[in-house]
Amino acid sequence: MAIVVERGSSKHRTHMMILMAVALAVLILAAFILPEYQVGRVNRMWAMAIAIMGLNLVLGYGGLFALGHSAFIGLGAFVTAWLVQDLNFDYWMVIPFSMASAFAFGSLLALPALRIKGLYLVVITIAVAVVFPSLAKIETFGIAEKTGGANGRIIDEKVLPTGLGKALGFTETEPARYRYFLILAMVIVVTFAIRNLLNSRAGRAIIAIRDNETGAAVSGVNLVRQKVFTFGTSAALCGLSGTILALDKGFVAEQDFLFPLAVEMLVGLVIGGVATLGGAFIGAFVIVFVKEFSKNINIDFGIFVLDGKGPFSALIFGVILIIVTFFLPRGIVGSLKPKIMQKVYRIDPKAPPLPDDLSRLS
Amino acid sequence: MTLFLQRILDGLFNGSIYGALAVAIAISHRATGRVNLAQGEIGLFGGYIALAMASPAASFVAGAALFSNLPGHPFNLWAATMIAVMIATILAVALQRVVMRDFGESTPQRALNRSIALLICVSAVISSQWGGRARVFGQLFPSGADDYLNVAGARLRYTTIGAWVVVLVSCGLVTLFMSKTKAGLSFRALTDNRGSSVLVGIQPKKLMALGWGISGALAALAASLSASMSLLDSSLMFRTLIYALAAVTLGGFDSLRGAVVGGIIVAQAQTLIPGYLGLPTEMSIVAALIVLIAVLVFRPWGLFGQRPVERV
Repeated sequence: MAIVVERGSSKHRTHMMILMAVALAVLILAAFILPEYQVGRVNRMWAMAIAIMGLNLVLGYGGLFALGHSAFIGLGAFVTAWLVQDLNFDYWMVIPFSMASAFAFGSLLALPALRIKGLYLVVITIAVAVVFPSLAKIETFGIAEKTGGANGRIIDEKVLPTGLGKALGFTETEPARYRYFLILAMVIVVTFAIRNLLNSRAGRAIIAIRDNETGAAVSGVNLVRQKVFTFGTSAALCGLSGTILALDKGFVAEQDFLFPLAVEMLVGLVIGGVATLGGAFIGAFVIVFVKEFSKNINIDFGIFVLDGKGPFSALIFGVILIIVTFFLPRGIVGSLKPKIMQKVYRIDPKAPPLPDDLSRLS
Repeated sequence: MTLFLQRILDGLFNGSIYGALAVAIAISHRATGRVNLAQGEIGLFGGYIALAMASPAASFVAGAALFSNLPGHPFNLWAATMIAVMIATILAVALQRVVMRDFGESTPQRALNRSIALLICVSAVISSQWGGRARVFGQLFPSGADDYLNVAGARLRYTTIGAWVVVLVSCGLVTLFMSKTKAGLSFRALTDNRGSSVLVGIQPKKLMALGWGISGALAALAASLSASMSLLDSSLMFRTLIYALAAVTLGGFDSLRGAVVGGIIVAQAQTLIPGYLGLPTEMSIVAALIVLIAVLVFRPWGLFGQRPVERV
């Protein structure tokens, strides 16, 4: 028996409040229940979720098939390493700079995307994703020195509990747990920011361009500004994700930002559900934890061995992706959520307001 | 001048490889209307099969033991390559029929997702079986220190000539097939006008598989040729795929001639631009990217492609 509520009614709001409070409690409790190592994995999951939300903005809501977002994550991570190591920035002061640089890079990439569409955009963005790691290695302008070149670069201290963190009882033996709360706060801010963005004028414009570019332009959407903004915001989110990944791992190297990272993000997005908000989290969960679980797999088939520690985990992603595109074409959230909601918790549209002077009609 | 000529001639070899893979991508694109990003990996799989067939059973090449029961093993490299090309064809047809069954009909985004899934699957299988280190493939053409033609002081290697002969002959066979046989004719009809050709009784399913088969064979040829010049390693064809995508984009996705010419242009840009600007060799992919963006901004439909006309 489904619970039926009216959208925006006080009952609906109360339910949402309760749901969010329960979710927050579970997420906070999880940090204390899980072992330190798993907390670190969850941190990575949050970072990937932010990146996937960024990709979703361009690919899902914007309808532009871009595959080069690993470059933006890499840029965010390298900027972080450079600012923290060479310019002695405070850890959290890095974030605006990494996001701004990724925004600039993303806007730059949007310029060809204004003219180049569909398949050609896919080709260009793949090329960008492939080029980026080798750009990070070149000696000119001292780039290799700042990024660590082929060897990678250590970011000296990982983020450790200070001040408030120490007062709350976090010790230096569990930095991941301390970081978890900082990252969780960022994830919550980003999620609500994107939700509100999509309901705003800018978000409607992004979706309008996807659905019909000419129609959007005729309705007064500035295509150039909107596309540059979409690409830039999407890249900035990936830059933020790169900063989190770099600080969490304490090490950046160009091998971490190769094309397979872009593919991983795409796999996560498609599995979770393109153009859904919750899909990013499910997708990030799948790509981080499938890799963890596959480490334990080792099957000997005689003529060949499936070893989960090596490149084999990519095979699982591929198979999951194929299965999802066949049976859940809109992803887990996109395909299953409407069905489940229909059965368990139905939100009816708001009834149209009655005319306030019905009495006059009679 | 000699250096310039030498750079041009060096670029020609890569041009043949990019051209072959670009033609493969163009054919599968003509067949289904969607780009197949797994094209390079299917070819690479063929390359490794050829290696496994040509290696003695005692060597540590995965799959060598599997083929050792066949009469005549280890095979001559040419024979192994030809059998591997057939296996890659069968693999491509099978993948088309099983995984890409609605490749032509499904939305472009979903089709791309699935071809990326295929890319990572095939690449995962390759790198988990044969990955780790690059392997010597063997020489399909004489490529010793003295095996070259002297062209005004520059060296034109026999391998380059051989690769071009193989690529042009196979492209010629494909063109002949397209123009002289009934299947080829219906294939061209399908690419020209999908709706009408289905109405006159052409079966798109078979032709889509046919297109994938041809392109799988060409990709396997490209992988084997490329490996015989350098080494066979698990990322070989992904790099080539980027250049080939650039080539096929330059030429226009519908034109086979354009794909070959695009391959030459990309390969020349790859050798000449870093060569004269003094950039490290890994920057050559940037050169390809720059050429690609430049062409796409001014001629988004490619150099030889048809300008898309929208019916209002």
